[in-house]
Amino acid sequence: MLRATLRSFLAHKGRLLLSALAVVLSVAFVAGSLIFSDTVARTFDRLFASTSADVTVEPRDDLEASVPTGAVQTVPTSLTGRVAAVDGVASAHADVSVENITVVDSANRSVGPTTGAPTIATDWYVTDRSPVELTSGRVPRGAGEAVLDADTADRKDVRTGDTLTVLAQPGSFRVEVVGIATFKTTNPGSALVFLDPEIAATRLLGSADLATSISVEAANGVTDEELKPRVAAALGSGPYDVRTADEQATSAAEDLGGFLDVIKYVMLGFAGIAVLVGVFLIVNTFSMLIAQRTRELGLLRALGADRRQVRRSVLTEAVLLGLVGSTVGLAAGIGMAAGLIRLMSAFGMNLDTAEMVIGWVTPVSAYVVGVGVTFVAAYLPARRAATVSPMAALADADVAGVGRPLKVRAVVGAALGTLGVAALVGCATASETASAASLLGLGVVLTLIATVVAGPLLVRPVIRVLGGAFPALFGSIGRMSQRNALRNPRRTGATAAALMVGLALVGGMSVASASMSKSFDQQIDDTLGADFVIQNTNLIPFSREVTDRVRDTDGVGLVVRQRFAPVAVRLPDGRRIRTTAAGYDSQVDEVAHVTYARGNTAAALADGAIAMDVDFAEEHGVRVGSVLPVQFPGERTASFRVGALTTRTPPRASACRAACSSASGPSRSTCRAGRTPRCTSTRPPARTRTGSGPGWNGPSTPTRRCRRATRPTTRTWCTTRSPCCCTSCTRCSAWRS
Amino acid sequence: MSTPAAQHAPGLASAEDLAARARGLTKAYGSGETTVLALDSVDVDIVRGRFTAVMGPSGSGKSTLMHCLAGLDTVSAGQVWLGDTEITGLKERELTRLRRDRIGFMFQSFNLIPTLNAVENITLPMDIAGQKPDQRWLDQVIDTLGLRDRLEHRPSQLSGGQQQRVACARALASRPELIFADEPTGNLDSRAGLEVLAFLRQAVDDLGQTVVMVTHDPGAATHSDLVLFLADGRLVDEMERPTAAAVLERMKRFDLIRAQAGAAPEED
Repeated sequence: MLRATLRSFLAHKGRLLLSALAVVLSVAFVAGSLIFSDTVARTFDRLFASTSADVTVEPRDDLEASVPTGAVQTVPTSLTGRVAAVDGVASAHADVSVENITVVDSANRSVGPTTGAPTIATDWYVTDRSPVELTSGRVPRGAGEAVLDADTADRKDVRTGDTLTVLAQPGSFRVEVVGIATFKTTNPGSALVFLDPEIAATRLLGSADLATSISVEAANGVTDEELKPRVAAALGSGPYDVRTADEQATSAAEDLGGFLDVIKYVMLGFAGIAVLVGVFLIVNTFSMLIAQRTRELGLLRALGADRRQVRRSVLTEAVLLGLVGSTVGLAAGIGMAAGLIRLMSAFGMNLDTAEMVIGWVTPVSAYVVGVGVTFVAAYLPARRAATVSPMAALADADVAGVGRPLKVRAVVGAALGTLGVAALVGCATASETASAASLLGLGVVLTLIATVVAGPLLVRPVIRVLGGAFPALFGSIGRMSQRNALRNPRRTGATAAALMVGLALVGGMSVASASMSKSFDQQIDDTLGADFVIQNTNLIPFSREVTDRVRDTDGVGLVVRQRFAPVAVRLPDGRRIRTTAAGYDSQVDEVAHVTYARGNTAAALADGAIAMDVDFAEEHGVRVGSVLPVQFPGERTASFRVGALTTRTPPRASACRAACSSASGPSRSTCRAGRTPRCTSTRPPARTRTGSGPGWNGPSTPTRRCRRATRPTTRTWCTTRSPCCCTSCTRCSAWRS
Repeated sequence: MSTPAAQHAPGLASAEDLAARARGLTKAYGSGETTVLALDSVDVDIVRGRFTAVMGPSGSGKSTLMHCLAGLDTVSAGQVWLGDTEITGLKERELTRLRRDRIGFMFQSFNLIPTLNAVENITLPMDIAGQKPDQRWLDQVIDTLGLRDRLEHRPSQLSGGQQQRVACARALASRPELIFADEPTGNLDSRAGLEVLAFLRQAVDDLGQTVVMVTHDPGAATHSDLVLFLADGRLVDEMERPTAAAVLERMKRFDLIRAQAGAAPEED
C-alpha cells in the first residue's frame, strides 16, 4: 500500500509541482525570517554583552518617549565620585553619549546613516570593552577634533583632515577628523563621532557637570550582581537605574527588537499569503488527482483496501509533498536569510553570514508549517477519496466529479454571502471605527469564502458570458474549450478559486495602500495651512539655531514651532495614561485647522492649560476646567487645567486611524517620510511649557496661508487607544498641528 | 418458466460444498414508479472447485449478480453467503476485509495500477492486507501464467493479453476462496482471450480454485463447467459441460422471447 502511494506520488510529481512551490515559499519565508532575526539577535546580544560595563548607572527611564523628543536625560558628574568610592569598584567613568545630533560634511551633506540607525556622538574613552579601536590617525584632543568610525568614513568618503559640522543641542560646532576608528564587533549600522572627553559634555550636553551614564568597572573578585546593590545603595533614592552588564545587554537588545520585528512580521505576512494561496492550490491539485484516479481508488477498495487505508494513502502523499516542500523551503529560507544579511550589510549593518544562527525552532516551524499546511489542505480531498465506492473500479467510463448536485454549496454559499454582505453593510454604516474594522474584515473573509464555496455554481453563467464569443472567435476549438470549462463546474470553480484568492489579496492590498496614501494626502490638504514643513530627516528634533535661521530667512512670514514631550497623565477616572504631549506657538491656527468642541486655541494654549480630544475626554470624565496632574521625564510633575476640547470629524478620522493602525508596528514603509504627517495618536494634544528638555524646538513651520486652505476644512485628531500608529510612523510622528 | 435441461430449479446445486450461495437475492434501482429490478429474487449456489459462467443478454442482471455475490454492491432484499459467512448485513469494514482476504477479481479493463510493475500489481492485495505473499504459491501462479520474464514491466509496457494475465495472477495470488471475473475477455482479441480462458480453466483444474465468470461470449462460456443463464433479473436456465453451439442456441431463444415480449408487452 505504501509502495502504491509512493509510486503514485512520484508519478504525479509534475502535477504536484505548483502545490510544492506554494509550500516551499511559505516555509522559506517562515524559516528565513526566523533565521534572520535569530542571527541578528545573537549578533547584537554578543555585541551588547561584550561592550556593556560591569555596572551601569543611568537616569531612570520612567517615561518612554514614543516619538523622538530630543530630550537627553542626564546624571550629574558628581555621582562618579560617589560611585567610585563604593567598595569593590575599580573605576567609574562618566560617559557622554547622545543621539540627538546631526553631522554634516563640508558640503552640508549628512554623514549619518539613512537606515534609521542613529548618529551617535560620544567621548573617546577606550577600554577593552570598547566596540572600536583606533586604526589610523590619533585620538581627538581639544575642542576642534574628532574621530569618525571607519564604516561611515568609507561610506561618505570622509578622510582624516576633513572638517565636519556637528549640529548638537547646545549649538553647532566644527571638528576636524583626526583619526578613524574601526569596529571590532558587528557594527549595528550607526555612525559614531568621538570627541575629546574633556569637551564632550560641554559640547553635547551644554554643561561639563553632566553625563548620560556612568560606567562602573568591578574590582577583581567582585561580581556584577554583588556590586549592583552596593552602587544602588550609594546612590540612595535618586532617580537612577543601576544595571549589571547582563541586564544592560538585555535592555539594549530589547530596544533593538522593534526594528527586527518589522522585518520578521513583513516576512511572516508573506508566509501567510503563501500559505493561504498554497492551501487552495493543494486542495485543488489533490481534488483533481483524486477525480482522475477514481477508478484506481475504486480498484483499491474492491481489492480490499478499507476507507481508512485510502484516506491514509492520500494523506501520505500530502505529507510527502509537505516534507519535500519543507526541506526545499528550509534550504530556500537559509538562502533568503543569507540574502537579507547581505542586504543589511549594504545598509551599513555589518552582519556575518558565517555566523548564521539556525536554532531548533527554525526547522521545527518549517516542517510544522509545511507538513501541517499540506496535511490540513489535503484532508478534505482525502476524505472524498475514501468515499469512492469499489463499484467505481467497474464503471466503464469515469464519471467522477460531475455527480453530486451543488445544492449544499448553493445553500452554504448563499448563507455565507448574505452574512458577508450584511457585515459589509454594517461596516459602511458603523460609526465606531473599531467595530467597522472588524466588520470589514469579517465581511471580506465571508464574501471570499462564499465565492469560493459557490464557485462551481457561478461557473456556468460566468463562462457562458465570458466564453460566449469563443465559438464565434475560435470555431470548434473555441466551442470545445467553452464546453470543457462548463463540463465539470467543480473543477473549474476550484481552479478559479486559487486564482481568485491570489488576485483578491493583491487587489485588496493595492487598493488599501492607494486609499491610505490618498486619504493622507486629503488629510494634509484639509488640515495643513502651512506652506512649508521643516523636519529633520531622521525625525530627531533640531536645535533653536535652526529655527532662528529659518526665521531670519528672507521672505519667511510666520514660523510656528512644534515639539513633543512624553507625559503620563492621571485622569479623573483614576487611569494613568502614558502619551506624548505636543506644544505649539500660539499662532497655530494660522498653519493648521483645529476645530474645538469647547474653547479655542487661545484657551488651549493659555499658560498652564492643556487641550485634548473631546471623545477621549468624555470617556475618561475630563471636562473643561478639570485640573490634571501630569508627569514628565525625570520625575518632574506639573498640574494642567483643561482649557479646550478638540473634535474630529468621523470619516476623516477613521481613514486616518485605519491608515495609522496598519502602520502600527513600526512599519515605516507605509508612512513614507518626506510627507507631512497629520494624524496624532491617542494622545490628547497638550500645551506644555514645563517639562520640555532644555531649549529644544520642534520642526518649524513657516507660514503664509496655504492656497488650499480656502476650501472648507476640518481639523482631525486621530485618536486611537492602542499605542498608536503615529508612535513609529514617520509621517505622523514629527508634525502634529 | 420451464426449461428442458433442468429437473431442479436452475442454479441450485445439491452438493454441500458451496463457495457461495444466494437466496431471494433482489436488487432494485431507483424508487417508486421508476423502480427497475436488476435482480428479482434470485436463488443461486456456486459450487467449490468449479468454473461457473453467468450468461445473459445485456441488462439481464448478470453483472449485478456478480457484484452482489462479491460484496461490491448492496442488495435490496435476500441473503448472500460466502462459504458459511452471510455477507448481507456485514458492515462496510468487514465486507472490505472479506473481499480482501477471500475474493479475487478480474475486470474487463484489467484495472492494473499503472504506477506499479507487474509483480507489484500481483501482490497488491497482500500489500493492502499487510501480509507477505506465499512465495511458492506466487511462483507457481507466475509460472502457470507465463509471466516470469514480465515481472518488472509496467502495465503500459504489456500487451492487453499480458495485462489480463497479470490481473489473473493478482486474483489468484492471495489464494482466494472465490474468483470473480467480469467479462475477462471483453477487451482482448480472440487469441489472447483464449489464453486467459485457458488459464482460468487451469486455475480450476490444477490449482483447485473456484471461478465465477460473467460473459456474453458463448465461446468463452464453453470453457466453464456450468453456465447459468440470466434474463430480466431471473435465473432462467443452466447448462452443464456447455458447447458453443448449445449455448448459442440457448441465447438465440432469449432474443426470440424478447422479440415476442416486445411484440406483445401486455402478456408480461
